[in-house]
Amino acid sequence: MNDLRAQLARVGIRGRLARRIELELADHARCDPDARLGDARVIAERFATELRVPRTRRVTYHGFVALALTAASLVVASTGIEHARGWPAVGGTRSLVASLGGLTMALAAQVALVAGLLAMWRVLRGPEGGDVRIAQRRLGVALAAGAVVVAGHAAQTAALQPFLPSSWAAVALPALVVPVLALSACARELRAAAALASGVPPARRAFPWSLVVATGGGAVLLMTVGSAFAERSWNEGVTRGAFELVAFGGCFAALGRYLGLRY
Amino acid sequence: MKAETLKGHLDALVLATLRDGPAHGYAVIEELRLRSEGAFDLAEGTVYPVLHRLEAEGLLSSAWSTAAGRRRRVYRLTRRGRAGLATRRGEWERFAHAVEAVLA
Repeated sequence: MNDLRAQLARVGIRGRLARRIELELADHARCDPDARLGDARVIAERFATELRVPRTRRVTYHGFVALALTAASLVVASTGIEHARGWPAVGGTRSLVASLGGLTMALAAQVALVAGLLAMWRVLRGPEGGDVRIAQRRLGVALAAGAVVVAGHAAQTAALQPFLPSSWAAVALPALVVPVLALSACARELRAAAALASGVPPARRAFPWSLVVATGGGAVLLMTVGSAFAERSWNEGVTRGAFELVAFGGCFAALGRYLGLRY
Repeated sequence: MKAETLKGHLDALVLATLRDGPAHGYAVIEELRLRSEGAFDLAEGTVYPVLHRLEAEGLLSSAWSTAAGRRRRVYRLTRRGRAGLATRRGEWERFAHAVEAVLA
């Protein structure tokens, strides 16, 4: 059993689950002293092989819930500002921090959404072998981007808080804490699922270029037209659309290979 | 019969052994052996990981129970597991019918 514990730890199975497996197999050996439990290394690898897909699927669903909570928290905090005194007119460093926070949130939220959807896409299509690694990478990027969104929101909150009523702080603080807790729990769960697949090389599947171009084009078009209507200015729409194009291209160049979108 | 031969059908077989009530891992393996008249004499190291996966997929649930001073993990079919078993049985019947038709 000591060897089994070591082998389970080697494939990323630790803690309560490892203890449970040991107890089950020990009980089995007592029921049947002639049981063919087999080599501890092989047993541990079988457990890792069987568990890596459902664990990855589960953490992907949980990750989506955590990202949805993050988005909902932002909406609650923003709505709270509008219901208080509206967005305060701040200047100097606070204005810069609030603007950078907003920009960071806008960018990171898109990365989180796209990476999260890509992870879900892979998981729903029945991942096999190395697909699990790709799904885990995508979810990891989505969760990290979610954390960046929260950091941007925290910076904006700190910059605006002195200019808003204390009742808003009662909304803004939970709006920061809830996503942090949810994202942290998912990150821990993802680390455990990733340990089960650590020995598996990531799959190399071609992602259709047409879909990449359609997604990027759609995002740029949406940003251009949406901003033009919202701001009642085609200049603003085109500027934001160009920014979206640069951001999409930059993210694709930086993360495309890691996320299994290009090779 | 080796586990490799049963690949693709092992889930259905394990679910079927739990159809009539909860059982622990040893009982599941024994039931497989008995019902198959010794044909499915699977290594324990094959069945326990499958039980864990089926539980992770929500087809089984499990809990510790104590019998004669010994703690045992007892598995039972969930509602989803019953539906999954019915689906797999239907797939098997279609497959077996097709193979029979070709071999006859």
